[in-house]
This record gives sequence, C-alpha cells and structure tokens, in this order.
Amino acid sequence: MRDRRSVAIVGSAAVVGGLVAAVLWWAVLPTPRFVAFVPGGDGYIAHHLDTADELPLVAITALADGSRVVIAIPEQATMLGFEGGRLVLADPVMRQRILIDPATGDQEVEAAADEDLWGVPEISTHWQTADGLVVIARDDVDGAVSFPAPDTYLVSSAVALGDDRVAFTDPFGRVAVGTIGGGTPMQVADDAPRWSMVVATANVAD
Amino acid sequence: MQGHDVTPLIERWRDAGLIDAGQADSILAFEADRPTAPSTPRWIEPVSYLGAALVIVALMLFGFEVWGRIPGWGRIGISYGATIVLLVVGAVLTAATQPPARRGGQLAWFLAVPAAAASTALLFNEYGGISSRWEALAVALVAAILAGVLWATVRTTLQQVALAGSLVATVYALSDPLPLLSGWLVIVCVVGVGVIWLLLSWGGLMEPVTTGWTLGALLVALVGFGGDDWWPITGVIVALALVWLSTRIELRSVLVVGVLALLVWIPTAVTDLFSGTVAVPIAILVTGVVTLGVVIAAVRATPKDAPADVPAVATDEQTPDA
Repeated sequence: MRDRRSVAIVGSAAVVGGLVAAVLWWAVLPTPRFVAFVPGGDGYIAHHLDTADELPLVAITALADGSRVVIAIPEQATMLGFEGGRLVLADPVMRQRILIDPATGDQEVEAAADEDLWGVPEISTHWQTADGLVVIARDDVDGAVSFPAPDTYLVSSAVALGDDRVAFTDPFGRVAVGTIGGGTPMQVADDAPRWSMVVATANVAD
Repeated sequence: MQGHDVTPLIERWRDAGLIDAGQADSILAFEADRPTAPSTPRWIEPVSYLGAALVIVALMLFGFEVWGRIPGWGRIGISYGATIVLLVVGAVLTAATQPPARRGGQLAWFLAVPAAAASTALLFNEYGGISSRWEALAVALVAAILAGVLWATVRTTLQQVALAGSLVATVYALSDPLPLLSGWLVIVCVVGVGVIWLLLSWGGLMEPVTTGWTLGALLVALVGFGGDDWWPITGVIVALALVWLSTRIELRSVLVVGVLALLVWIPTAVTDLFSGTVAVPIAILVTGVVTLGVVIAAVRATPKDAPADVPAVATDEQTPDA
C-alpha cells in the first residue's frame, strides 16, 4: 500500500509538472503572438475600438506579460504570413510589403515585388444568404465563392488573409476563417471568445 | 455493520454447519447486548435543513432590499461575517458525536468555500488592490486554499467536491492573466486535475476514495470539450476506459460516468465524422451498439460464483464520511 501511495504521489507530481510545462510552452513562452487580425470600418469591433476612421484594419498581439500591442494596418493590406517572427503584409495599392514586429508594433516598409502582390485576393463585396452561406466576390475569382457559415454566425465584415483564406467577423467580434476553393467549411476559431475579449481589452488600453 | 441486522447471516451460517447453534446464539446475544449510540429521530435532520434554508432565503431577500444602501465596508463585513459564521458552525458541528450534526457541519464548511470566494471578490470590487487580470485567479486561489485546509481537516465528500471545484475554477481563472491559456489547453488542464484525482484515489490518498474516483472520472470525461475533430473521439476512448476501470475497481459511480460520457461523446464524434442527414441514424446506431457492448462486457466481468440467495447486508461503497 505504501508503494502504491508513493507511485500515486510521484505520478501526480509528474502530471502537475507536465501541465505546468504545457502551459508555459503554449500560453507563456511562445510570445509575442498574434491573437487577432480584425478588419474594421464597419461593425461592432471598429465601433468599440472607436477607430473606424483611423484604424481601418487592426492587428493585436499578446505579449508575455499579458499586455497588448494594437497595430494599425492599411485597409487594403492583406496578410502574407510570417518572416523571422514578423508579420508580413502586402499593400497592393502602394505596392509595398509591410513587416511588423508583434512585440513592439514597429513597422518596416519595403517595395514589394510583383510576386508578392500576385494572388493577393481583394474582396469586392460579401453577403450572407438566408440559409447561412457566406458569399464573397473577389476581383481575381470569376464569380462568387461561398462558405457554409457556422450556426448563428452573422458575418459583419470579411477580409482576405492571403493563401486563399478569408477571415470573417461577426457583430460580437468572433473571428472565423474559411479557405477559398478548398470546400473547407468555415470554422469559428476555438478561442474566438478570447479574441473578442482581447479586442475589448485593447479598447481599454487605448 | 452497526445498524444492520446480522440475524439472517448467522442463521444461514448455522444452517450450513459453519457454526454450531451455541456459537450462533452467543453471537446473536453479543450483538443484541452491544450498546448503541442514542439515535435522533430521522425527521429532525431534513426539517433542520428546511428551517435553515428558509432562514437563509429570508436573509437573502432582506439583503437584496437593503444591499444597495449599505456602504462598501459594510457589505464586505457582512460577507466575511457570514463566511466566519459558516466556518465556526462547521467547526462546532463536525466535532459533534451525532452523525446528523457532523453532516450539517460538513455542509456549513462546504458553503464556506464559495462564501469566502464571494467575499474576496466583493473586496476586490469595492477597493481594488490588484490588477483586474489577477482578481479572478486570486479569488479562486482563496477558495482552493480554504477548501484544501477544510478537506485536510475533515476528509468528507462535500469537502472533496469543494476542493475539486475550486481547483477547476483556478484553472479557468488562469486564462485572465494568461489569455493564451484557453480553449483546448484549459480542458487539458482540467483533465489533468482529473488524472491527479484518479491517481491519488488509486493510492488511497484522496479520501473518501469513492468520491475521489467519481470526481476524477467526471473531470477526465470532459476531454471531449477540447474542441472539434478528434477531441470527441478522445472523449469516447476515455469513456470506454472509465467503463473498463469501473469493472476493475467495482465502482458503479464510475460506470455511470463512463456510460453517460459515451452517450454524450459518441453522437458528437459521429456527427463530426458524417455530415448530412445520415449522421443522425449512424450516431444512434453506434451509440446503441456500444451501449449494448458495454452491458455485455459488464455482465461478463461480473463474478459468476456469487450465489444469488445470499442474504443482503447493506454495505456502503463509500468510505464513511463521518
């Protein structure tokens, strides 16, 4: 019985250690990390950020100390991905690449090559059908493409992310991502409620 | 065995020749002469709870009327005062000799945990003091520490439930200072608490052990809430593991948790895998088949050499609380 107790204690300590390691690995150490990339200009988010005119597109990062960095991004910019820990955006109007340090919000602008700008989709318009399909029209797509929207998801804005992905927000600040042409159903991000919380926090911080 | 009639057993053993008539008479005489503690009428305990509940409801209704007019320090004083009253009442009653009184004490200490948490939250609300991001965690930690101390003092079901609940609340409260701790990671941490509960119950440390097994099973069964895709499937696997575990430790409560988890996670997993109208009948079919399989497995695992006509002697699966 004493052996069993010892094994139980050691096993429990191992589980606690594993959980602490998991939390450190996923929630603390790999920061700064982008936690939201929200289009503004209409809807709930922009209203509450009160930046509808000045911050048409906002990226928010979370830092290790729990603070937030809110970054204004040109409305026409779309996300290309990450390079060296920096967020890379393409601005097809100014023909620029914008590299953003998520820890500080510092931005570096450089001339974009043609290949940086190819394939960056721009959404002409979007709407939602009565049966829940989100339909978007893009300048590089012949006709409109549609996504099955999650239940109760009412799209208030849409933005292209690059890589044939499109992000949508609903009036509550939830963010969902769909893939154009892949037939992938749009999924609301698992941590979407946290994203909306982050947006609210950013509002307070501002 | 106190409180149970052993006469049928003694007579059965005497008839089987295991003991002679003299021994049987001696045992019966011994049991008959054994002094028993004076018992209180059974109606006293439920009526006491009813009276206490009425008093508490009346005080709460009165409190709602005047709460807005009480200054902040007064609200905090009332809240912490109620917590202290619960702690004192619990300390007095848990030391009593009568089981109903001890159970009342355990309930008072159980209620003292959320009362302490609410008082601490009220304190932060009225006077601040720490960053708002840490408030929920501080409140949960106060509850967890108090619950831990009370459980260490009186290792009963209610105290263990309060400890487990406050630890789960602490995990959820961590997402305030750590916004990236959310979604599946929170569920993993909650399941981790469940695994620890099961381990400590297996080691005999999480007393009452039966409650420990049950709470641990409940917490690990939540794994399917981690998200979509393979999380519900993991829930099904964990549920099957709980059913298997219940046959090994012969604990019906863990079996119930496992079966309920199966009934939740199988339809979820099936509807995730199959889209359209075919998902519903497939989910029902798979759930039914698995349920039948669990029943057959449980029947096969039941020892067959136990005669059905053994006189029943009530045994409490649960480790005595008092």
